Amino acid sequence: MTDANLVPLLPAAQVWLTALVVMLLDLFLNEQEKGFLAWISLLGLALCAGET
Amino acid sequence: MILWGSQDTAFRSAIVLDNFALFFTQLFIGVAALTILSSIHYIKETKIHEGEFYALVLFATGGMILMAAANDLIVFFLALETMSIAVYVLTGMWRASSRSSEAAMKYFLMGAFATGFLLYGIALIYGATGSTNLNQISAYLLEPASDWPVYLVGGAFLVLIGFAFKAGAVPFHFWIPDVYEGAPTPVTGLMAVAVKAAAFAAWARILMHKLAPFDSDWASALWVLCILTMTVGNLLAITQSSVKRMLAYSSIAHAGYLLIALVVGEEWGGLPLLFYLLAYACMTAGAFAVVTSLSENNRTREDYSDFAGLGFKRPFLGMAMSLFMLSLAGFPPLAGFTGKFYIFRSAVLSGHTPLAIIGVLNSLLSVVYYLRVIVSMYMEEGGAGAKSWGQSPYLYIAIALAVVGTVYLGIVPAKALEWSRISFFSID
Repeated sequence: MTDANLVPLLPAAQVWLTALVVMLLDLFLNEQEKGFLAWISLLGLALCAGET
Repeated sequence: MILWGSQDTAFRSAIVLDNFALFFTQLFIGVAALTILSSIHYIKETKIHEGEFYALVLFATGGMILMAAANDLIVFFLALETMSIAVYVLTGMWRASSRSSEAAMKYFLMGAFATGFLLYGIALIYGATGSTNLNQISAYLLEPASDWPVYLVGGAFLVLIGFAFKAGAVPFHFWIPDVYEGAPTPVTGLMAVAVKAAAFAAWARILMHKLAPFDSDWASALWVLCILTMTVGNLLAITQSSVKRMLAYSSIAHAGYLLIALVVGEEWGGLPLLFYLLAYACMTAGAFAVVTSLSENNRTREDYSDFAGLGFKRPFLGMAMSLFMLSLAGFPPLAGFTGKFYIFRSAVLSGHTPLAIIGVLNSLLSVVYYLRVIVSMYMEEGGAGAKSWGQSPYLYIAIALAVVGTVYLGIVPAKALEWSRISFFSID
């Protein structure tokens, strides 16, 4: 039987999801716009911090 | 703050969500944010690929968070590898620098070596207890020690060696100076603070709490490890001419102070361990951010001579670096003093007074090399040109946040101490 409670994985999963979003956006942004990725990363970390 | 106070498990107790895991989640997030803020200008100058850099910092942070929440040796191993692989790549991301590539290769090889120890240890523990789940292993350890197979203690010692390697304890510290020196400076800050904190988080949950019945077996080994780590780290730090390399040896010495908390055991050592990691995070991340600020046009400025006159050319950077150095040396009323006070106090109260005395003597020894930075900044002239030094406002924000943390934890430590106490004693 599988324990389907994923809440304990939430903080790590949220940070990894932010990493995936950053990698995905990296494909579509030009060199001048890439500084934006730092703010996406910080936003993901801030959301995770607020939650924990 | 939604999850604070939770006591939850997932995947048959392989991952736990308690205040201990959440304390470290906050710590890792804070350090990752400081790393990103201090990298924004640096990675543009060094032409490091931005998207990959930020993604790898986040992957490593996720691995650290999972390490603190792991309640199963396999989950712990997966989390450790998630963190380590991301940090290996981050170390070698400055492709124009041969030192960076060399550091990445050294870190990878030594890390793989440590992983081998850890995996053999996990395999032996699994062979003896029939489980990798820490609850089941600690239940097995309630049986009389005379019933344990010999290789169980051997397995526990191999796991201890693996942890010592990751934490940078002597004699498993050889990779630290070269890797810290060669890695891009913001990555060095991440390694010196978050990777070390992740190793100590897992050490506290796994070895200090769950495998506590082994205490009598490895007590003397931990004593030797602790004294060697403090003393060798401090003695070698004195001889360095590079501030970055000095900070690498200083991080070894601080691992020694943290080991005191592990030697004294969970009853006395839990609270000081967590508080010291918090204080250490602020002052060390801040110090590396100041070193980052001196980089310019693909060049690093890491020697003591590069800091000459910094206090007058860049008063804020000089003041901040002085605070970090004084705090690392343990001067009151800064975070480093409060952290060391509680660590040494726990040693005395638990009957390990000689360890506290050696710790205090080592702390005095460290004053030599920390004050040397302040002497360079305020009593020497020359150094790098002032005009073109790092002007990134984000880097200054990161340094200011670290200064606030260092001063706050030193002057008003009560809330952080209570936070540390609640967090440590939430481990079930």
